[in-house]
Amino acid sequence: MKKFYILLISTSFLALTSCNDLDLIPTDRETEETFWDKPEDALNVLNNCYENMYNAEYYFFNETLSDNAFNKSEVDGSNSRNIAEGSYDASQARIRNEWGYHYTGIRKCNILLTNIDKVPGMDEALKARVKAEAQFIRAFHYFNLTVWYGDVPLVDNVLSVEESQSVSRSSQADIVNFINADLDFAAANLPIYTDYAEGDRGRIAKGAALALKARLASYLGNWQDVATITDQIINGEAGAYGLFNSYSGLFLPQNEYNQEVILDLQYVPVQRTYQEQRFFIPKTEGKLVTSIAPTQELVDAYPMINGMMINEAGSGFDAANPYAGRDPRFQATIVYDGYQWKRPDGSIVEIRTFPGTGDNSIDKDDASPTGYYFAKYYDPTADADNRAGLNLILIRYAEVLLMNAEAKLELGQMTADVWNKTVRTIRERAGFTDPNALNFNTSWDDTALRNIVRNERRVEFALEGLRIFDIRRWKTAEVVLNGWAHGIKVGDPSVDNGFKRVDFRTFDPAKHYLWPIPQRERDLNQNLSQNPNW
Amino acid sequence: MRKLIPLFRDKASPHIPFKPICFMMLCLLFFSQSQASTLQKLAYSSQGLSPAKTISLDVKDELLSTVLERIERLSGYSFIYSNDEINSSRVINFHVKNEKLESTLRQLFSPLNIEYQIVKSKIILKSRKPKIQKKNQEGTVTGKVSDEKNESLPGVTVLVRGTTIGTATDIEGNYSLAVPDMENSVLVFSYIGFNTEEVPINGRTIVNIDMMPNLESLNEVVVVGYATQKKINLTGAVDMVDAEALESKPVNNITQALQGTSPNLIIQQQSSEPGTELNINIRGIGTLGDNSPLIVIDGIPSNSGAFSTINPNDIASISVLKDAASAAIYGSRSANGVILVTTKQGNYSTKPTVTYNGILGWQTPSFFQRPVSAYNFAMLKNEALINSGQSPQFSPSDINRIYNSPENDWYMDEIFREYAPQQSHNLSVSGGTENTTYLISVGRMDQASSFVGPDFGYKRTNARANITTNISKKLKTGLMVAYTKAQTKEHAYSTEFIVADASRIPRLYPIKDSLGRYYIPPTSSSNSLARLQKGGQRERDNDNIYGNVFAEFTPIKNLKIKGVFGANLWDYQQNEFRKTINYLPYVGGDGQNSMNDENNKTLQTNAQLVADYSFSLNRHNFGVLGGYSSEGYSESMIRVRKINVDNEVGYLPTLQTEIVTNDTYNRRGTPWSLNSLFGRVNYNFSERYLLEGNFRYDGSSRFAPGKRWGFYPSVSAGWRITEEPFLAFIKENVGNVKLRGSWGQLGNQSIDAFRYTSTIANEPNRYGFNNQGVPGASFSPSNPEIVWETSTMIDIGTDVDLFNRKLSLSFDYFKKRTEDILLDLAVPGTYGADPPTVNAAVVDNEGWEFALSYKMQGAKINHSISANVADNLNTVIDTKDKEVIEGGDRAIIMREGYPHHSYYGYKSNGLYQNTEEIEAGPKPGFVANGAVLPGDIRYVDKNGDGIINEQDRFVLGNPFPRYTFGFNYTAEYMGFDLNIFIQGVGKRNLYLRGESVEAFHNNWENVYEQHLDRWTPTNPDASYPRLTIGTASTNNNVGSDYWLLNAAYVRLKNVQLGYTIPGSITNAIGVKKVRFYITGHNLITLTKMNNGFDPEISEFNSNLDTSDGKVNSGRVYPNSKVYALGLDINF
Repeated sequence: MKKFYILLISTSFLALTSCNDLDLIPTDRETEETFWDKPEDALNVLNNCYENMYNAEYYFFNETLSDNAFNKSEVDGSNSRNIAEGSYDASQARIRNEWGYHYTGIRKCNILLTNIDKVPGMDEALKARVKAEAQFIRAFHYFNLTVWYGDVPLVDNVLSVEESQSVSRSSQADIVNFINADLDFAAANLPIYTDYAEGDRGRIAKGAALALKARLASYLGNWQDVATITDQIINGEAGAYGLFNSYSGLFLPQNEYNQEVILDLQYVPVQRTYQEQRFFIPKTEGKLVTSIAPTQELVDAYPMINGMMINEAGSGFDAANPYAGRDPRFQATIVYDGYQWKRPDGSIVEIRTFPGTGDNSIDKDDASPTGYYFAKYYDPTADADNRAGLNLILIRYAEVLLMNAEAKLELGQMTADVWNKTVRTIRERAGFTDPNALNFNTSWDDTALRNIVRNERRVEFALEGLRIFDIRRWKTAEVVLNGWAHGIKVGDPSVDNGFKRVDFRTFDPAKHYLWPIPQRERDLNQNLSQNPNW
Repeated sequence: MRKLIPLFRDKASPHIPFKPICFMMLCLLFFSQSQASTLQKLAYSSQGLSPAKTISLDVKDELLSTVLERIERLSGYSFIYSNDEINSSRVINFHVKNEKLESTLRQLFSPLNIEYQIVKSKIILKSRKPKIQKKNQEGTVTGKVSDEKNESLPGVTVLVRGTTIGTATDIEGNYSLAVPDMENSVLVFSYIGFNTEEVPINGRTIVNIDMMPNLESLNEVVVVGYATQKKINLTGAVDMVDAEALESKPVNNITQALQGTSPNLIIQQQSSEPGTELNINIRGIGTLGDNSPLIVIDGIPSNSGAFSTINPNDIASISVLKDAASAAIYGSRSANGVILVTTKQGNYSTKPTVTYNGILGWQTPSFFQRPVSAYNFAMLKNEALINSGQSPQFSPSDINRIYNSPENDWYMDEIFREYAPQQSHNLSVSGGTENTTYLISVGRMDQASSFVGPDFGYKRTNARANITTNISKKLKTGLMVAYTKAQTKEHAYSTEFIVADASRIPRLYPIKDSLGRYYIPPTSSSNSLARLQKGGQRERDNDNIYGNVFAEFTPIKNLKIKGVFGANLWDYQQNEFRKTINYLPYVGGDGQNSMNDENNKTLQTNAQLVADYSFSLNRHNFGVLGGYSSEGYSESMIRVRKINVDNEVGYLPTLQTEIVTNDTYNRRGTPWSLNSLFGRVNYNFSERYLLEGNFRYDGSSRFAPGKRWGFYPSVSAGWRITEEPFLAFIKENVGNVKLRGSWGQLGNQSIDAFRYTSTIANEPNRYGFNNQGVPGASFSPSNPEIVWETSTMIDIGTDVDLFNRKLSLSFDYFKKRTEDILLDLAVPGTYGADPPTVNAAVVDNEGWEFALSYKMQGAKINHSISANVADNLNTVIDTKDKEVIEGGDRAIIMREGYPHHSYYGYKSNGLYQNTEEIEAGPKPGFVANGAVLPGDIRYVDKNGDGIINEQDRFVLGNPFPRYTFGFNYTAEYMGFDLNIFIQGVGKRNLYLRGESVEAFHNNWENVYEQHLDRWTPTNPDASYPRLTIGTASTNNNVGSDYWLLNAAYVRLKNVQLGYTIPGSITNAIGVKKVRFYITGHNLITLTKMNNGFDPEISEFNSNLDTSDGKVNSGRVYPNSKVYALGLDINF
């Protein structure tokens, strides 16, 4: 019996105390040791680079940084209203976050570019294209960084923690050279967009590389470069781009991938969506507190159908009926009191924003504080929680045309021919028919022309996030971002002519043309200097 | 509660005289028995001996005659014997401690084959004659059971050992029992609160005994790692909380019951919502990462989920291992302390005892913000708009209308029920035969949520069987198995926003319109009441099976070899069905229904082999323990999310139903394993000098090969100073004093698995091409160099008991330094990825604990008081010169020289009263020039440059509680018992932000009563700045100490009043004990927080992590008062 027990115990102990293996591997993912062994790995990493290229929050809330819109929320959009108000410092959330956002994207691209040559059996042409896509995305990040922050660290490899703690800022000139080198490589190795297979629609194409190069040059005032590159695109060297036949249709889901789109952020219904439209469409439609509201100043920027600004003599503007006879793009962009809103089921509902007119009216706390909403970029196929799968256009052909017009103007080469190829075609597509609005007027001087071209950009690209960059490069922010932003005329007539004050903005030209280097970055890296006056 | 050492009988209490009548009875008995020539029988009688003196002797190699002389001196009795019969010159070793004379004599003479007989003050000794084996003889034994004061004891269980034959004493303490073997049977007397006595019958027909109260003290045993230890021999800082301290509280998990019971066992809550876990910290914050203690249930390392769902009624004791000496045997996971849970067991040779405990209670939510009336809201809003340069919103006629309208109900009153029931029922049966013990219990807990809505709440079912059996003298096996089902049903949204969307709504707006339809106020897109009542639900259904089998082999005396295999299997299911809510005619959101199904399974296994040997050489006592343990963990998870499902029956698909693939995953997670060797050596000399050493050698899969193994030693020593002969005077007259100290190293490895190697997650729908989702691969941060965190800790302590153990004191001081702290140390954004884990930081933690207990025993009333207070304070010593500041207006900082996660921001310096002061004051850089006006907050210009900017921020305070205390008073009188429990925090800061403190947060939200005291030119001493809206609020809303609250509090946590029906009544119906009680929980709170929030609420979890703003924005389920009735029955 004793032997039996000893046997029983020793065997049970052996069974009980078997050792667990310490060399475990995760069962739901690969590790470094096994990665980079097939071309799909490189493509999946590239997809992750695309995902980090830009986002819907920045895209839409950029408009509220400018004089085109007001962000009512203190929370949504990284509290960006503080930036428009000039009440911010180096700790502001958007300023802190955007830095890291772009460097995260840069690291992803650098990981891909550093490792892709390890992948065995990858087709060389495909490899070159993947590299070109990644280099474009990297260039796009640096473009955004240098536009906001000026001089920034130049990182072209996968940084170690220690390196990230000591890297210092490179001059904007070096950053620009780096961007151009990446874009040149991309332009040389990317196909034109129509050469992509259908399943690859939405990938970066050669046209995007050239257009971004032109945009960068325009921000730097290198007008000759802008003119040269935009001419190349207009001449079809990067593929057959053209204006889409409908301005409002350009932003509808059924018209994605049309010939005007040069670069867009890809969203997929149900699978990859954004909800930002709930912030800017009428409260009754978005069913959430409105936070992105167009300003009266943007509304006033829409010319009359005859091409004249509303305050010009003979424009035909009727203050009692202010929305009649305006630029057709106004209808496609802005929702105003009396707007006929088309619901997804096809029914029409009138949007009222005057005080006491209902849930969308300006006196409701959760409604638009300006009495205006945005109609552009409303995706009627979004779900009930406003999850939209509509692509967001980052660069489109109309911008190439207007960059070309601006460059020629600044170079003193604006002619009726240039005008007709650019502004006129855009206005024709917008729906203008009045010759006064379409024809080139030789009596315009440079200032008048400049105002026209700049205003054309403002209304053409409203809610596409370009305005804040334009007023910064034109150095007009100190004019248009100082003082009150307004809503509709419902206030005390003795104050600002009765236009409701919604937000007081301050723009200090001595410091606000560059964002501060985030305090957090400087806390963690002593070698990062600060921008002037911050 | 530190287990209090109960009193010895009061020395000063009346001495029981040697009553003549007893003596006569004794003599009669003696004569009757001596006629039967069974002298020694009397020697075992308990009757008639004066128990006045106890005897302590420690004799080494002395003559028997000398020993007898010493006993004569101590007892006052004298020995009579013949040297022919007794060899008094033999050399003996003998040791007793605080034993009664009778017991001393028995222990002394039994091995010497000497019989003794006490007659008056004489003890007659005779040589024992060979025992004659008597035949089994049935008979009846009667007798009387008394307590030490000679008062009769009713309800004492009298059992014949090894049988189920038994009875209980009646109201006079008398019993009568038929016994099968009058010669050899042994009677076992047992009664709660008294030492169990075993008395051989030896043929007597009358056996009377005095039972002694259960003194526990000297033989009190404390559960320590892998063993138990006599408390007097402990050299580490261990608190043992026994079941008594946890009983009868109307709490829903054991963690709540533990609050305030042990100094520096700090329990906090982030939410009072049914089913939420609480924070547990032992001795505060010692590291920057995981600060949770290791939880071990019946020897098997477990998790906090198992702890918070265990049936509190199943728990026999909880040991809190605080210092390195006690915790080091748990090695790499012990740095934050260890909690050892021991569940109840049956007793050998005990009849089945059935116990029922039931509580029926009512919870009523307390702590609400107090909003102003609609009229005040409108007035204040106009004031704020005008102050901000904008036009007023409400016209005089509006205000007139509001003033004359009936006040709307406040949202918070509408979404919470005034009373929500809770109940728990527990039934257990325990007992044992000669070789087997068993405990079987079932429990059911049902706590309704205070939220209105379709039967929301938390339900838990527990079942347990603990069985041990001795297969032979050398082999014992056992099984503990417990099943738990924890079910939560709640609304389908986040409580944070249910509360926020209610509390933010001014009373201007109704929650329902006059037709009973849910109203959507213009400040919201949903209605919290509708979400609760019509919005669907989230149901969690978690099952846990905990099993533990063991075999214990004792090949030779004092050597035990134990093998254990334990497994803890959790199956978590969650189903969230969010319904579309129709708000028509109002415009609201909540238009998208969805169904989320989640299933997660985790399995933790543990195999252990432990050998334990103890031996004594003369007065040198040794113990050796060694063991091996291997643990493993695995998990799997699946989740599916669907939208556009049937709005009534969520699992029915419709034609529009889609599976949202980017929210869907099927993941088998990250396993880990841990292999360990451990050991302990302890030594003591005569229980006077105590020494102990522990070690553990751990290998973890969380680190790269070559970095896996860590060694954790500890040493400790104790000196029971009053055991020294030269201090015998003090020991006799004052009490016992023990000094102890320890040093050791502990580890921490609580980081996610696979932080040492980069893994690549390939997730669906990261991007899309041609309107089709594509997967994206992302790399996790990694660092192959990481190793364990190591904490080095010293502890100095003393345990004192005074005045016959009436008063017990204990004090500990500790200091801990944790190095190589595993931290995802903040990296610059330029790095471009989440930070890898590094061994980066050093943190010191220092503190003390003091516990006191005092017991008073009167003739009819007994009182006891226990109190504890403790402090701890951590200091970040080294973070590689990195500071990390997180948060916006409410910022926290990790900075060298300050406690971890300190609040950080501007320091306010009152309110500006006029423009001259503003002109003279520093200019805030974050607001435009001229925006600061009288009534705004002035900030301290730290660097004196005239500008307020980031450089002017201060470390403002610390959210972790200090000076935590607990106070407990109990009294018993005539069957009534009263328990009062007070608990609190002496020092803590809490930062509240957003709508919880700010008037018109988001420009349209609510205003509370405390805002009425706002600055105006006529109210210059206001507690709130001038009212503003929008940009004009920027100056006042930046993070500053203006919004930092003093969250110290004292809380009457629990009051219990009970009554036990006299045993004489209950015994008649065969019930041992019936107790009723009423109890109240969270009854009174004293705090300086004046805004309606509970000062106990913490925005941080036990790791000081805060991932959302729900607490610091006041978006919490309010703490509840609970009133309850309870019933305990034993039979």
